[in-house]
Amino acid sequence: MGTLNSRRHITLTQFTATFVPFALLLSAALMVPEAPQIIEHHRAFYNIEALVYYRTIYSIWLTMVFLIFAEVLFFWPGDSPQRRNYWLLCWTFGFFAFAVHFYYTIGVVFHGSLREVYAKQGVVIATSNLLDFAWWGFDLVLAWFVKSEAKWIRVQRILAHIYIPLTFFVSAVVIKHGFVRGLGILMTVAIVGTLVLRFLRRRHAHLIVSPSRV
Amino acid sequence: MKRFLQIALICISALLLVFVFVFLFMESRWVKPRHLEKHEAFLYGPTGTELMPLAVFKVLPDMFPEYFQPAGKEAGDWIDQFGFNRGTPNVNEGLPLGFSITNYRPKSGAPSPVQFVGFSCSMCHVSQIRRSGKDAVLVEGMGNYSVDFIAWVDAVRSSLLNEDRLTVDSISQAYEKKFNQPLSFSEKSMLRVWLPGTRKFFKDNLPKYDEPFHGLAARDSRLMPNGPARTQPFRNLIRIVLDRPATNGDNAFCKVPTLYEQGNRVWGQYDGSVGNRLSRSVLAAIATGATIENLIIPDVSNAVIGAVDYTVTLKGPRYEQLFPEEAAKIDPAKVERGRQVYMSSCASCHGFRNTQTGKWENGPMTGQVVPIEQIKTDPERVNFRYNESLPDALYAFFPDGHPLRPKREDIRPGPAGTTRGYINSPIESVFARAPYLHNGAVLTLAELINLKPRRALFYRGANLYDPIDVGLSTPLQPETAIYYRFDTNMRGNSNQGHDYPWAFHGPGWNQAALEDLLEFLKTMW
Repeated sequence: MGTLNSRRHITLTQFTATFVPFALLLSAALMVPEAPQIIEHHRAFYNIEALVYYRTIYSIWLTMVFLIFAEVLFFWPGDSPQRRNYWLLCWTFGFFAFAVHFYYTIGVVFHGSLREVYAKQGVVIATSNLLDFAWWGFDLVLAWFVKSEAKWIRVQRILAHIYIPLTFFVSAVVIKHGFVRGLGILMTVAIVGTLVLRFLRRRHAHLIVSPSRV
Repeated sequence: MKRFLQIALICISALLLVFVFVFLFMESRWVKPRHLEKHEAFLYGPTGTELMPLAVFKVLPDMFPEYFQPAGKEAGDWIDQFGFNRGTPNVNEGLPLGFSITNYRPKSGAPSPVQFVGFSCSMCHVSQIRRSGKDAVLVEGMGNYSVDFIAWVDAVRSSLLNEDRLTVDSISQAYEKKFNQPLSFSEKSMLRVWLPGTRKFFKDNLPKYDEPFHGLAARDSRLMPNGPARTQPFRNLIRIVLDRPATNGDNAFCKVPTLYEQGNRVWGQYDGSVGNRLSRSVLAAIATGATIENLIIPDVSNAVIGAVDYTVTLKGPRYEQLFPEEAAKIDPAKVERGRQVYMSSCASCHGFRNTQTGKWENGPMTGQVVPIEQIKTDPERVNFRYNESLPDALYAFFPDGHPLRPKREDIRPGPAGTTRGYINSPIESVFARAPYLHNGAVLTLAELINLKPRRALFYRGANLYDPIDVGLSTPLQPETAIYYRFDTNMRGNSNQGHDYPWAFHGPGWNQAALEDLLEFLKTMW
């Protein structure tokens, strides 16, 4: 499992391919709730004001889309600068979308009060969400600014890429319903499929390089 | 070329993102949270009932004079013709009392760059007591006995459904003509969103709400059976909560209630069906167009709570304040004899004012619901269809955890009782509560206590106050300002029942005692 370090030369094509969809989708996530057709059919779910509610929902959808790409790229067998760059960009834009979601949940719905967050969400979910945000952000800082390929960085990155989707799985597939559950299932299938593929490739490579074991 | 396209795409996307964040920043500034004092909340506070942009509100009556001045231009403006209370210049944009201004969009409560107009509690719960044609006193807390709200709503609906004459362009032109300045970009933009959406809402609801009446038809009691100072609260709740047209049995007319010293009662509504002041106001707001979505907005919910709190201790007026000349002629001996009649015949149900402490003392039966078979007043209010299913539906209408969700035990019929009847309520400042009975079918106290026969036919509107018989006077024929023909023989309009102390000319009837009682009631506050 190759560590994707910070020294990369991201091409214009790579940046365009990730930033443009990110910018368009984030704009949509924030502006579509303004549409009267959506806002006037809101039904006070969770007692959150309509605009905030939909921006919270749509931003987490966008987070998951980029998370799926980042996870697949991270676990995809083999290594190439191109894949590393796409991983980093998806990992970064996914985090930005998550930051928007985080702002609307923690900052707006819970008025920036951790006490309120814990009171409403409970210790497990609240801590898990905060850890997601902190860890993801921490790893991004490492990925962009730390040149070292120290083992602890590689290990924490692998763990982050397991822990964060795991919490999304619990939230999206186990707890929630509707479209976000579909995204959660898609994420799960994509990650598991990638890991299986990685396993098969490694096994295949091992068989080729070790014919004596046949 | 590819590089150029990529850079262009990135720039466009980045610009879009910047635009979105600038928009979000501006949007966060459209609403400036404001804390209203209780009194201010009662007079001007929002109730989540935003209806139309302020700019539209200001020109709509000019664009449709046939709807908003049904008796003709010479009969006064729409404020006079629909019985609203004229506002104060430079206060609340000079709007009539009872209209709130916010930067929230209708229904969703999302922030708006332009101001919207909705309703405040004071629309229905502040009344003018008209002592003569030009002499009127505003009484806070008194049910507005002149406001013809349902007819006004029909005038609004008629305008909004008029697709030929009400367009963004026609509104812009009318505004520019009236104020010599064009609508701003944001006002026009909001109009383009608001008008089709609101029109669609009213069109989609025509099967439930039917075509609105307008013009003189809106003043015809055969077509518009509510009339001034009355609503059909359950009709709208049934439409909104049960999604039914409420066409069968919608004769549950209710007088706009008076709200003096609400702290003296636990259960509200004439039938004692809601046991929480805040829930009562929330349901009233829902019936007039608020949604459970915008009621959670802190500005709205705080204003509703503030207005409700204001009524907890809101004192009614005293007779001598409003009618000093007549008060000077009152014979104290008659008042004292009348007090004894009151204490023996009325106080056990309605309670009395303790003049030593100034507090209202409830009687042993105050707060009890008297079965309809016993009180014998008009039964439509408690016998309407869905009477039994509505409470559960109302409760289910609010999602779990909604801050304004009523408790199920606070709504009857339910765990707290199923009696169909009318509640014995305190009657603070009873002289300033006309018309009387829950359906407003009795004009004066003299008729209510059966000192005088109850009139079977009278006219309603901007009636003068009668300080002698205590209540509303009526002309023999309809007049421009007192236009509504109230026939007590029509369904829901019965003036029968509540024959206390005695039925008119019935066993025990004592004219002298009733005259004394009337004098006492004038002085009771």
